[in-house]
Amino acid sequence: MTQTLGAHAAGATPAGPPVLDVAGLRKVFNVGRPDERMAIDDVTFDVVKGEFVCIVGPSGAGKTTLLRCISGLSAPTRGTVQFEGTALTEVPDQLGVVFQDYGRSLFPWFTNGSNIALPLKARGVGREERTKRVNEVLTEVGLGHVEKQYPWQLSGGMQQRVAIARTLSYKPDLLLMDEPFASVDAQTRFDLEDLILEVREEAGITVVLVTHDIDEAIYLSDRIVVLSGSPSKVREIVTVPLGRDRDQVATRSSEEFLELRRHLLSLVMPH
Amino acid sequence: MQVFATYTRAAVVPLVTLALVLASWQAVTVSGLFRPDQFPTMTATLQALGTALGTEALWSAVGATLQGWAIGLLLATVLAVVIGSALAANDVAFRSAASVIELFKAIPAIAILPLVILVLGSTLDMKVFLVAFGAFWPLVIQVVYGVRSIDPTVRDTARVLGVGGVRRFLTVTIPSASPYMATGLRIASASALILSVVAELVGGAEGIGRAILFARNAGVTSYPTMYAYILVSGLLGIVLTGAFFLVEKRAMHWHESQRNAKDNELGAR
Repeated sequence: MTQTLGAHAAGATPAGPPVLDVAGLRKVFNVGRPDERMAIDDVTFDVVKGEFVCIVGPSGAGKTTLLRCISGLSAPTRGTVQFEGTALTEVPDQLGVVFQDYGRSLFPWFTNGSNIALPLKARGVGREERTKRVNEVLTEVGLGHVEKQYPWQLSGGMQQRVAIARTLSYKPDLLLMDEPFASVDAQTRFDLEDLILEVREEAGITVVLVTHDIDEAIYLSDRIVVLSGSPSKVREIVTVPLGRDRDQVATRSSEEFLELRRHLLSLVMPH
Repeated sequence: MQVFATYTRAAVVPLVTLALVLASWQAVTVSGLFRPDQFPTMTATLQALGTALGTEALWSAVGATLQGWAIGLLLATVLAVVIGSALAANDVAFRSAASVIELFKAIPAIAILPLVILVLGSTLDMKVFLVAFGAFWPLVIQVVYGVRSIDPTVRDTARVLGVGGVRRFLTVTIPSASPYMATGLRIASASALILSVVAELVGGAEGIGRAILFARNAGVTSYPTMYAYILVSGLLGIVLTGAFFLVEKRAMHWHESQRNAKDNELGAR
């Protein structure tokens, strides 16, 4: 069922060179040891500029491992990952990652403002520009003046907004998100989904989001990469022809949505 | 009213205990159970303490002890952070160094005092070396464990944000390891004060320890002064512990342990 994606990508979004190109990726842990374990067998897909791609699969399908490989945090055992035409060796400067666990990924010893300013500091942005940018991104993610507060003084949903703001602060070309909304309540989850769609629209950013939630994947995506169980392969890449304007109530109850949902469930459910 | 009563009791009870202890001290000495050349009376001692507090000799002794404590501790901390972080970064280095560190940590610092006096004499250097030696080993172990205990998510986040090198060390590694380091520093600070006084008492470097020794050598009439200096060394320990507590509370205000403490305070109210 594995397909190559050129055709799909061109159909769903304006054609362009891929921002991310994953080819024949395999990841084996503890190579050559008795506890050797293959997490990812063979994954190939690409993501073009401005596209929103979700990666779904049954739990234990190696989704997080895949995200670590495509972000440059972990080296693949075989295959290649190219970001904007260059093979990954480290995490590129123009790539942003948002983790599921905002409680651990936001640094509790820094205020929200300092957390957001940290990647800017690392990129040599001056103090004045940093302050300006911190305010900009806080507005962008719908937070007011929380820069002097600490992350742990905010609610979970707000913390994840700060984490997103921190990633957006340096205007990455590609945003990778690992189950970013899995630890917040349902209402906040809807809000954050809409937020990320807005951000993507306004910043023209490309997004790859890992989730186990099929509904979320359909709601957000232009295309969905469906993984098989471990060791994972690409089971199918599904195009989501729902257009750019999405609405939590209307989109989720539309006939196309339910049709896609049926199809994806049949792919993900064990046979 | 109830709250007020609780607070009053909390403040009064320790004072009552203190008064009882002082009174029994006075009783056992005045009654002749202890002779004045063994144990001077409480009043004589406190009088000597009052007199001593007004002399420059006492304050310069306190200053000298604090100087040895501070320089030794600072030196140990800098070395422990640098060496500990380097060891923590490398599995092989850590495993090979662990047993050596455990061995050195097990040597009571006082055991090397004769050697240090022989090499450095009765000097500030001698005191600083002894203090640094005693403080370094527990500190370095805490630094290693602190740096190794860094949450993988925190490490990944730093990498993803492009925070590397010295900046990562200062803004991510050190704060992450700081709860361990604070514990190490607390232990090291207490033992540094002890070693400082020992270096003065036995090694003859200037400070409270030497003042205790001199008072003893001056004969029976100076015994209250000796006890006064002993009390001063105890008070110094309390002040340092208290100062440490306040600094830690401030510097680590973001840490869960401090946050919980604050919540509990609020909850109690």
